[in-house]
Amino acid sequence: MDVEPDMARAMKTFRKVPRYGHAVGRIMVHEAALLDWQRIVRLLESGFSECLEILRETEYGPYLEDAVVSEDVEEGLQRFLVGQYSFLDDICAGTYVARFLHLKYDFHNLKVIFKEKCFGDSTEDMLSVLGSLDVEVLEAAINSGQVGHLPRYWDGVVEEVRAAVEADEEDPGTVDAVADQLYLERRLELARMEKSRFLISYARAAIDVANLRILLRGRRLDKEQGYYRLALANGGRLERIMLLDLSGDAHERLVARLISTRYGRMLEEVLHTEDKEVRLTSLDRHSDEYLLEKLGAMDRIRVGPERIVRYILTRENEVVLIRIILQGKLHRLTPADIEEVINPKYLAERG
Amino acid sequence: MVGALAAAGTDALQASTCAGLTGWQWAILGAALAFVGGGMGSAMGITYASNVASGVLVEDPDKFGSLLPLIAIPGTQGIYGLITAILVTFQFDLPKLSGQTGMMVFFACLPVAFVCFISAVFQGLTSASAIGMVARRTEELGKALVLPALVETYAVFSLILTIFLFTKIK
Repeated sequence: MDVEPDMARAMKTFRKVPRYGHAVGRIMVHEAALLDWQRIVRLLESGFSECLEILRETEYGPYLEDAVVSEDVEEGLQRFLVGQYSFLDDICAGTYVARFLHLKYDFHNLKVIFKEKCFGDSTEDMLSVLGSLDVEVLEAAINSGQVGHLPRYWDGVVEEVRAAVEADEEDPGTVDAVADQLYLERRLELARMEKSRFLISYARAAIDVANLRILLRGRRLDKEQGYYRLALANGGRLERIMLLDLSGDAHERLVARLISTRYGRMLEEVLHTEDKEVRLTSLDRHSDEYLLEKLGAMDRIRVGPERIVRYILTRENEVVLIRIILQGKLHRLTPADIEEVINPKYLAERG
Repeated sequence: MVGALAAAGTDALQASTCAGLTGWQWAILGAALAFVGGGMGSAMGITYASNVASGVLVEDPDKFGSLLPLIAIPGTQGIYGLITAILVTFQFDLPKLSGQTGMMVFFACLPVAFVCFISAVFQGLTSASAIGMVARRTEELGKALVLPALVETYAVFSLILTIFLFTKIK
């Protein structure tokens, strides 16, 4: 943590005001509408129709009022998120913050379309409308190879994924590996373009967490060195070259080296005490929690892009939460069963 | 005879300057600095608070009345700077100030110049956070006002000190 004199920090914050002040003011009003813990407990303890009644008093009301079946819930929550993202576009015009947040949906669409084209996977209901790229343009570019209509950065991405798939036609995982790597690196690039210390730190932590998952999961699946070269992203606090080096090491040495990094505490929690094997499902959960903690630590007071990002990601988590609860109610799960599925850290923001 | 008069004139001129500036130049410099510090700080603080408030008002225009005191509160430091500048011009007989007295007036203006500048900027930051409180719950306005008001205390102290120092300058 670098120490800045208070005045210098205040002046730096002041320079952000014309850029984010208005957006943060609008976010402040919407933050007040986030679901609180009491309301979530009420949702958990109620039946499906009572849940809809409770949600009628919230911003979700107009989107879910006619929901009867699972598809209605999905469609309503999707429309809600579309509304949130269009609000984001409105308040973040002229900054990279909206692109930072849209990016994951663009890459999601890219993966879905590539998998359909190369491996025949169905794209039905898989494409997201939350990306910044027009899905049809992206689809046409991938299917026809004519990337001229895509924004400048994306033509290179399409070519890179295409080249990787052509080199390894057998494995649909190649699309995920290359696209995820490009996504994480691009997100860091956008954070750097935005010159936000918090966004850069968040993007770098996300790269580290993803790289750790790749490394530990890859070891379990006996992946070759080529896989790590394809999948490990650059830009994290853990050097890619060091991770590539470690990928060839014995398991004990790999674990010992990773434990000595800043992610040691997280990794210790997912290791079996006897054989030092990594529990992969726990790793996923703990690394998600680590990023949520990082998000929670983002400045709640100062005016800056972190507040906008935190709001949108908190909303996304909230939508996940409502989806789990409503689908659970529709499938007649008990409150205890539903609560088990919910990651308690999703609720940390609400205290 | 002429040489003696010239020497006496030079001595008198040297006595009325301090570090190369005459008494009234020092005093005017102090007055200007007090106003510039307070005014700049206030302008920055108000810009900060009003930028955030404008966003809140787009979403909830009914909050204008509640937010106005929070937007305006960093403006007081500019008023303190103006009071200091006016006091300098009215309390002292500027053309007759000696260099040393003028310099004392200048130093007496510094508390307002610096404390008001810094406190107004920080008050703007505090007001922006307080606006967040009011955006969530309008009934929190009373508590929200206390926070920037605490920052204000030090600007008031600086004005009191400056006025107190003026009274001690003969």
